Amino acid sequence: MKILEAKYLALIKISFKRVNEFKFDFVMRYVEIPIYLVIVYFLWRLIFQFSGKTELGGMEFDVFFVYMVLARFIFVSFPFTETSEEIEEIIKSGQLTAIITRPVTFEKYIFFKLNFNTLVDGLLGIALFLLVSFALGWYVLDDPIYWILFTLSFILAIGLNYFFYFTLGLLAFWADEIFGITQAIRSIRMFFSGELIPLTMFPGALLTVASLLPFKYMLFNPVFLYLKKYPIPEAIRQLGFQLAWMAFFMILSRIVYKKGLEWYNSYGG
Amino acid sequence: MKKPSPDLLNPTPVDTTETEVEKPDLLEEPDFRVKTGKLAYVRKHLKLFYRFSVISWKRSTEYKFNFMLNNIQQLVTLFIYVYFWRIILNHIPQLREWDFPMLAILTGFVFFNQSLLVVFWAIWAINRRILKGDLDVFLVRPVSVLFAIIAQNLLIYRLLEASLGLIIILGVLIKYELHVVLLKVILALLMAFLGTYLVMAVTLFLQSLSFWLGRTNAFTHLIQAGFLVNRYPITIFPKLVTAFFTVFLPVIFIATYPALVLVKLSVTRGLQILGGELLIAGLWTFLVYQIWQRGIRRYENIGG
Repeated sequence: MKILEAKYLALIKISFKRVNEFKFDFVMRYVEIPIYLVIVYFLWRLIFQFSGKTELGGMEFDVFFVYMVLARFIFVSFPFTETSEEIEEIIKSGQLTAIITRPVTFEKYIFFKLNFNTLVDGLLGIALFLLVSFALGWYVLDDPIYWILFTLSFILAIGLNYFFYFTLGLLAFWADEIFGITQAIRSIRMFFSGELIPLTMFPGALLTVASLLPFKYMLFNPVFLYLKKYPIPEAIRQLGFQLAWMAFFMILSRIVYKKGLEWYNSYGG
Repeated sequence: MKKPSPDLLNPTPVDTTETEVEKPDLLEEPDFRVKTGKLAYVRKHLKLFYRFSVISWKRSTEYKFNFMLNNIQQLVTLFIYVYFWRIILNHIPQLREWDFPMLAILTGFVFFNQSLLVVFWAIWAINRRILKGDLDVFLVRPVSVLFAIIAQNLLIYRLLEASLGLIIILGVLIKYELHVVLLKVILALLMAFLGTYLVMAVTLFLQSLSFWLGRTNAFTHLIQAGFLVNRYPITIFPKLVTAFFTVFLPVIFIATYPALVLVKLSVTRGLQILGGELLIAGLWTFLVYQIWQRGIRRYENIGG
């Protein structure tokens, strides 16, 4: 595949070596997951119990719990604000000069350099999640068509997240610092992507706002597809929206990058 | 008349026999602790802390737009956290004894303490400094190593964010007409401050393990997991979970107990909890002191 040319494969290999170097550290990254599971389980069980309802946000407790856990597992694998921060550092320090003289595409270079580790984390996380689901008898998606839809949505969500944070990072061409912007977006994303609470629990008007923003397609959609909560025609429509948002940010990032390069100055070696 | 220029090639030797004065030994740094006592040592550190705070403030406000955005971001996050509880309470009347005003106060305390922790963010990156051998530069200074690391990297502007937390608490107290006695306010604040200290102590303990284990980023994840829990009222969880977050990862003192003391619990109960917190803080201080001292003795680095 052209996309995985030797130079990018080399970046992936470096990522693997980094993981391999500190195995203990890599394994310990999952230590927060059991803590998170305990908290989510007891919190939402209590909320269900006090509400006196069998369903919240269109989900029964068992499914709801899987939603919260999967949102966390999936979340681990997605490109995040680190992408923007790294780009800011590259632009501010003038390292960009060295990178643009190399035979690499900047967006691919950043993707393979930064996000491969998180991707490995995420895939391992999902594998672990499935294993635990089978062992504890949690809900597991058993429909091959939905598996395909989920996988597609998962890949599109990674792309959307990446291009979104990539574009955000490129603002460093003009802004003195982008830390404030990335942090503000981080909070908004956490809320409107359904990471904190499923979007279906939002009151009507807020749900409409959430549907108009790209954040829903960054996390909520893949999880909802895994839970088979969309009928197939709606699932395809949602995938279309996801693709459209990803394409939008991909094009936007290229325009911004081009404009930024015109603006960019670097002196010295 | 032309001014005679000094002969740079053949400079006149200077007679140093008469002008020789007693030179100070530059390698020997004055030890304030020995010569002027512990008070001067503390005063010196306070003075340095003040100077570093001023520098930090100037650095943060250098980019005005970014500074403004940072504060707006904090407001947005605070709003989201409070609104999260509003959404939950649309579905249930209250979460055990926790109603909306109490949950909003809890969020205020979470904000207050997390901001304080960010002010001293350098603690979270000490393991990296140990690994990279960055402690050398601090070890040769006549100040406490830990103090130097923290003070030099202060993010003092985050105190503004901490004040946002306090404003939300005050706002809720006024809006919902919750009458609290001054002693409870003092108790809750003391508890929250000590809670921050406790989390810092545990973090430093785990970070210091880098002296032996190398990279220990994973432990930071453990603390972060504690922060996930911290956002919720911990007393709603089973006793075993509550006990874990009281002694081993004592995040319960950050927000849950201060909120409870402020609104629900009696002063006597508050004092009892504060006593327990002091005990746990003492234990962690002892552990941190021991591990840090042993770690520093073990630390080695070659090169510059």
